[in-house]
Amino acid sequence: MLSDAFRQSSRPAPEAAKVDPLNRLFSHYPVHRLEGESIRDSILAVSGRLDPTLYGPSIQPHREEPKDYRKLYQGPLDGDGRRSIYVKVTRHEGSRFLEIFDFPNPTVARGNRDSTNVPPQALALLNDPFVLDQAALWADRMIRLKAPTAEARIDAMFRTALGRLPDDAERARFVSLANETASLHKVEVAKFLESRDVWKDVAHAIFNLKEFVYVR
Amino acid sequence: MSGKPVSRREMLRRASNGFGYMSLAALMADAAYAAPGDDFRLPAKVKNVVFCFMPGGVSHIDTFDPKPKLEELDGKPFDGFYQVGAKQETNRKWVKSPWSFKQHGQSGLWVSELFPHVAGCVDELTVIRSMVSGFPLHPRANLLMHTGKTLGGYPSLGSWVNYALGSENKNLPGYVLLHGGAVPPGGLENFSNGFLPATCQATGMQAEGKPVVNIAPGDKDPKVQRAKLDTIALEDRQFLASIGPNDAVESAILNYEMAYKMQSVVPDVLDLDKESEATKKLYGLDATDRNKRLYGMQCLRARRLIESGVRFVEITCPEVYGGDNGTWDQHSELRKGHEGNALMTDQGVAALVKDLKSRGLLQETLVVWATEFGRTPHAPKPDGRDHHETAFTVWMAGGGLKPGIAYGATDETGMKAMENVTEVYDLHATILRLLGLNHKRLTYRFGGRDVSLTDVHGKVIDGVLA
Repeated sequence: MLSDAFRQSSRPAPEAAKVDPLNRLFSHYPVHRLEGESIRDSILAVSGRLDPTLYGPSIQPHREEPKDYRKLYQGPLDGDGRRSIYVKVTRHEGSRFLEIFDFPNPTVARGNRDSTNVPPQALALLNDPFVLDQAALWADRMIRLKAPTAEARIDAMFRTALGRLPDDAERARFVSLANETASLHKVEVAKFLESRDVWKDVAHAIFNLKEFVYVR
Repeated sequence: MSGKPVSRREMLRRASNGFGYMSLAALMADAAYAAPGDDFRLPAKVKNVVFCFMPGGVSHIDTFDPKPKLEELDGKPFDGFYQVGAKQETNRKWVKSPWSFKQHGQSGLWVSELFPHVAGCVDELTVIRSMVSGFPLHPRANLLMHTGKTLGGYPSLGSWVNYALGSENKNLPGYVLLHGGAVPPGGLENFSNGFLPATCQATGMQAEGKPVVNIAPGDKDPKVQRAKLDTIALEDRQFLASIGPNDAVESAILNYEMAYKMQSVVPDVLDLDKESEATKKLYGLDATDRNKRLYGMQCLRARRLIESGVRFVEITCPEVYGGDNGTWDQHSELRKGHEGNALMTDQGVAALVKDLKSRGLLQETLVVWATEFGRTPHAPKPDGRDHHETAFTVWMAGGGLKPGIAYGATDETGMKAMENVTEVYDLHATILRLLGLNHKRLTYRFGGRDVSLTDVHGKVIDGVLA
């Protein structure tokens, strides 16, 4: 991942596109979606909940309906912040969140992981309580850091989640989102920067950006 | 999909179509778009398909293709080859069907006692007894039945249909997979859009629990969610512009609008409380057997989905009796497995045909009941049968077909399709024909070729068309 080749832009140079339109010579790494594990880990890393500890026992996935009699025990919603590689894999039922993002069925050998692109993935990022909880955690963290202005906070959040600063249009767009949800949540202007509801909404919107789940 | 490079030509073509690239149908409305091979349309007989797939391999000689000769041969040594290229096995014996057959309905079609409910609507069925596959192993045979190819990576039938016809309802996915929790061998490739736009791939809805997870909005105030979605959409378009044409990202963006609408539309469509008690009973929702109840529920949902404009619905079985190879895969315990599977699926499938008929919808719908191959009339054990690709049965019911007929025939033991031999490609060509699509002209330029579902194969089965 530290190699120059990996870090090349996903946009081919005009010359490369002309000589090698199919990218057989790997002049660039095409835009691609993160795997489910990386999406989950990224959310945890951004919210500040990620526990980077190596090794240790695996952790049960969070289940809609735990069934102890089938050894499908309930796990914490946030997996105790553990990296996805430590989420327990059993043949009966895996992590719903990871499966939506094509975590392979462990009972069958697969040469290549599927990369599907379906509305349930949007629904997961919009409505899964795990994502919403992490957005709230990230909001709390941002509020503790006490930004002087909404603009400064948006800058910090972009840098954390996307590794870059927003341009002017983007900054204005997200400040306007914060203002809009503040009015919908009936948050007083003076308490705007301390409102968990408002910054959770902003955090949640950022988790849902294509830029957050697609690597360029 | 996202990782695959696209050629310059492909890139230009996608760029010129951009956001409107939901389906070819949408493009056809645009006079500026002149597709190569836009002459694939023919008069349509049906609008929607429900594909009842029976994974594992249903025994033809125990269901729709009676073989009295096996009564006589039962227990005698089988001296042929098990399958082409296989080592001669010396211990195989002929096995007669453990189930009795009767003629049913006005048509007098033969159905075994495994399917009492389907037998009750047999006059609606067009039974093809002369199917051949050519691939005796589950993953390849499944992929052939779903995608017309055996290697994966190609669009499935449901994806082609959606690509060609577009969705009738923009708030629902055009291709829905109602599954019981098991993915058949061959994997999700069976339901993949392959190289077609990602919006053509199947959306899974499960029988148990919430049908589509995360369908309840996470924001209590819908205005909050709308505000977020508007911001996300603007930001995503800026991202897309910065990376250049990208089908996967475009589809992911479109998925958000669809997901937003699905939050209200899906619970509404799948809400079976809107059905009468009599209808629920027809589908067996009062059954004591859990699998039967769940399968019946999926059949009823299939009807509600096609009524709402979903083009292609596939119903698969849960994995109950077949190890990991599809629930109908009875190398042993044939009686137990086939009886259990028949109990699970018979009433639901029959109810679907009867219900569509009574609502006047069967004339514009195609119900396809299919499996990947049949089972051998001989086996090393008396209570089992192995994979059999040289003869099997599928049936269809719906508009444009000759109802109540058996097409094609196998030899006297069910070993080999003899009369009107029908390949999977022919079945696909016929399904497309009924939908008003010419299988030779419905193509997509990929890898330097105009690829079609049936490739160089396939002829419409004129003998089953009305």
